[in-house]
Amino acid sequence: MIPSLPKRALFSAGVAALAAGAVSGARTAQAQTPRTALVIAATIDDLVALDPHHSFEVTGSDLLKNVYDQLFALDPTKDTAELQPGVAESFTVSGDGLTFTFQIRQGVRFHSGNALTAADVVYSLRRPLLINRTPAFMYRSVGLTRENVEQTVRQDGEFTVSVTFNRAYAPSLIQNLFTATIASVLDSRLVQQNAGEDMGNAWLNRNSAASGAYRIARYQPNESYTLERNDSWWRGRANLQRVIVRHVPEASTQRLLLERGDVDVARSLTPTDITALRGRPNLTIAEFPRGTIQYFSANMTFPLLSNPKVVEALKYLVDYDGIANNLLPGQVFPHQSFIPRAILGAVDTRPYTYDPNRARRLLAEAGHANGIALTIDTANSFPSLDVAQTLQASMARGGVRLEVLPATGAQVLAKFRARNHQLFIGIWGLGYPDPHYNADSFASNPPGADNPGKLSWRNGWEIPELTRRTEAAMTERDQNARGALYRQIEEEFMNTSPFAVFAQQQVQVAHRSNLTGYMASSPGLSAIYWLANKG
Amino acid sequence: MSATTGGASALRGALRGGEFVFQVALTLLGLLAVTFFIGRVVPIDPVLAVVGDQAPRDVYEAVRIELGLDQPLWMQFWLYVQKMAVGDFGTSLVTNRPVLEDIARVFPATLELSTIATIIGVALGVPMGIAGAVYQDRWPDQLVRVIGLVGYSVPIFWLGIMGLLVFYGVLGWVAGPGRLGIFFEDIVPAVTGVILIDAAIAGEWEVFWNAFSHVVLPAAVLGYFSIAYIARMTRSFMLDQLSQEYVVTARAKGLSEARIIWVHALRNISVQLVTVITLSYARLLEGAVLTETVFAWPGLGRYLTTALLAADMNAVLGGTLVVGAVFVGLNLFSDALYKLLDPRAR
Repeated sequence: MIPSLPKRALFSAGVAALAAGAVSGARTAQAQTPRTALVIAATIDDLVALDPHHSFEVTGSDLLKNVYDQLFALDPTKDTAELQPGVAESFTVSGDGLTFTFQIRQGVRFHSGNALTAADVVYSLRRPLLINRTPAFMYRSVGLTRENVEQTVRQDGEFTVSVTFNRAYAPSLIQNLFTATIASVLDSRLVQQNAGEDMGNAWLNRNSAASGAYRIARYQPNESYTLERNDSWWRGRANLQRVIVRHVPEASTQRLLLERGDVDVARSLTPTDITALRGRPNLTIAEFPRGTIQYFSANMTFPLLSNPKVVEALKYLVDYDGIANNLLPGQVFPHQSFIPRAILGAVDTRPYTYDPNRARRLLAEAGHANGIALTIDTANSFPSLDVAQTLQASMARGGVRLEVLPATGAQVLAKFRARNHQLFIGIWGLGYPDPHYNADSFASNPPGADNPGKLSWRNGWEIPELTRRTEAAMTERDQNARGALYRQIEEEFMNTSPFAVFAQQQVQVAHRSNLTGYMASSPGLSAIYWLANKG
Repeated sequence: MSATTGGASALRGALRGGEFVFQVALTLLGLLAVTFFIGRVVPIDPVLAVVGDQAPRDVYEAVRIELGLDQPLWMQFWLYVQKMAVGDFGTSLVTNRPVLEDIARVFPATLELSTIATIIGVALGVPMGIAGAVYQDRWPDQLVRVIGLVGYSVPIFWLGIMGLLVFYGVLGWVAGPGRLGIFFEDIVPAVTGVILIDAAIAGEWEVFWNAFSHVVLPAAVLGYFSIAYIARMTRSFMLDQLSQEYVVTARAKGLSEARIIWVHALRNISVQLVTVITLSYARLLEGAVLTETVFAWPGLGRYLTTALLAADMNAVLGGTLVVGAVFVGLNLFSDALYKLLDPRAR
C-alpha cells in the first residue's frame, strides 16, 4: 500500500543523519602530557579556601604547602617526620620556657619580588587569630588569642620574631605546630594592598601571596587548579614547571585518563581499579601513608555501653586483618593507637585481634550471655559504610546484633557531637604533625564542661587523670621523655577507652612510570609536588 | 476615535504584561519559599558542613551566628529575599564565591551540553518516531522500539562509562572527560561561557574543535535518552494522525505518501511535539548529575548536588531559581511556538 519511493527516502535520511554523527565524532585529540608538567586527576571538590589561615582540609594543604613556606617543615625525603628549618632558620627559648625567639631566614623573596622580613612573619602569626576562621583554634590551644596577640607576637629586629606562650611548651610541639598550613608566611605588603575589611581573606581565596615552590596560576572551584613554578625559590627550583590538578569525581574516569596518558597520576582510584592496573607496562602503583586514622567508638553515656566489659568485647569483634587486607587493601594498614605511625610517640603494638569466643565470654561476664543489640551511625559513603557492613557481620558472630544507620556526613556528625549515637564510625585526620593534636581529642576531657570538639567527650569518657597527663606531655621539653609519656597514654587508651582504632590510611595512587619523586602524601601531611620529575 | 482604541488596547496590553510579570514573580517566590523551608528542615547542619568534624564549640557558635542561623526561620527567609531582590544571591559555602558568579560558570556548561543533546534527540528521534509509525509492527518499528527500550532501561551512568571506554579509551575518536583539554584553557575570553560559541567568536578554531570533541560524547549519551523519549512520543502521535479520516481522504485524492506524512500529519502533531521537546530540553537544563559526574563536566547538576549535600543553601536556592526561570522561559517560548504553528491558538 505504501509506495516505495518515500520508504527509501525515509531510510536514507536516517542513515545520513547517523553517518553525520559518526563523522563529526571522528576528530581525535590524543595528548601526552608535556615533559615539563605534572598532570593529576583527583577529587578536589572539598577544597573550600585558598587562604592558608582559613583552609582546613587535606586537599587545601596539598595545594598550599606547595605554594607557601611555613616557619618549619618536615623533611619530605625521610619517613620519620624529621623537623627541618623553614622560614625560621633557628630559635632560642627563654629561661622560663615561655618565650620563643625565631631567627628569620634572610634573602627569601616572595613571588611578588618583595623581600620576606620579620614584619611578614609577625603579620602572618597574628592574622589567623584576627580573621578567626576554623583553624585558629590550634593557636588558641597554646594560649594565643585575638586579644593578646599584639603583645605575645612581637618583632624584635629586622629578622627576629618572638612569641610568648601561656605555658612552657615542649619546643617540638611548637615547631610541629609551626609546620602546619596555618603557619604559612604571607607577603604582608601584597595582602594589605589588596585587603578589604577582612584582612584579605576574600582576596587570598582567589590569589596567593607566597614565597614557596609554586604560585597559583589558576583556580576554578570544583574544576581544576594550575600551579606555576617559582624559579627563585630559596630551597632550589622545583623540577617541573607546571602542576595541573583536575577534578575528576568518578574513579573509572580517572583510570581511563591515566591509561590514555592524558594524566600522569590518578589520585583517587578504588581497590578494584588498582588491581586491574597492577602489572601494566608504563604504570606504577604507589602508596603513601597519611596521618588519618579510622576508628569506631562507643558512647558510654548510653547505659549498655557504660560497662567496660561490653566495650572490651566490642574491640574483640573487629576483623582487623580482614578490613586491612580484604576490604580496603592498599588503602589502609592495621593500626590500633591514636597516634599515627611516624609521629612522635607512635606505638605499633596491636593488642586486639578478632576473637568472637572471647567477646562472648566478656559479654557473659557483663550479664549479657544471650547477646546484645546496638546501632552504629556511619556516613553513607566509602569507606565508612563498607566498614560498618563488615562490622555487622563480624559482630554477629560474637552475639552482637548491629543495626547500621547510614546518613550524610554532616548529618551523622551532628548526631555524634550531640552524643545521640550508640556506636559511631569515624575518620580522624591529624591537624599538625604532633602527638598532642590527637591526644587532645582522644585522651583529654576536662571535667565540668561540655567539649563537643573532643572525641573523648562525645563518647562520655570521663578521664580526669589521663587529661592531666595529656596536658603534662605538652610541656615535657625532653624529646625522648615526651615520646615515652605519649606511649604510656596510648597504652592506657588502648586498654580502657571506648575507641577501637582499627586502621591508618594511606593514599594509593597509580601513575605513569616515567614520573618520579611525586608524593601524594608526606610526613608534613600534604602532597609534595616540587620533588616530582619526569624521565 | 482610533487613537482612543489604540490607547485602550495599549493599556490592556500593559495590564496583561503586568499581570504576567506578577505571576512569574509569584511563581519564583513560591519556589524559593518551598526550597528555603525544605532546606532548613532537612537534618543537615550547614555549620558542620563549614567547620568540619574537629571544630571546638566556640568556632561552631561563631560560624552559626555568622551564617545568621541564630535568627528565627521567617526572619532568615525575609533577609534572604531582601538581599535577593537587589541581586545579591549570597556566597556559596562550598566554593567561597558569590553564587551568581558560580552559576554564570556552571550554567553555560549545562546549556552547551543539553542544547546539543536536544538537537541530537530531535534530529534522530523525530524521524525515527515517524518511521516507527509508518512501518508499524514491521522491522523499522521493531528497531525503533528496541532502541527506545534500551534508552529507557539502561542506566545513563553505565552508558556514559561504556561510551568513554569505547570511544575515548579504545578507539580514541573523542577527547576525554572535561569541557576542554587542560592546555586549551584560558585561551579564549569568556563572553557567553559557552565554549563553542566563545571560541567561534574569537576565531580560535583549534579550541573550538577541542571543545567539540569533548562535548560530542556526553551530548550523544544524553541525546540518546532524548531520542528514546521523543521517538516514542512521535510514534504514538503519528499513529494517531495516520488513522484519521483526512489521511484516508488525502490518499484517495492521490497525494504522495511523503506529502501526507511530512506536510499534513507532521503539521498536525507539531504542537504536541513542541511540548514534548520543550519538556525534554527543560529536563536536561536542570543538569544531568550522573552524566556530569562520569564526564567530569562542571555543570549545574553537579553544582547543585554538591551544594545540597553540604547544606549550602545559598547555592541551592540560586540554582533552583535558575531552573525555575528556565522552565518559565521555555514555557513562554513554546507558547509562542504554538501560536505560530496552530492558527487556533492565535
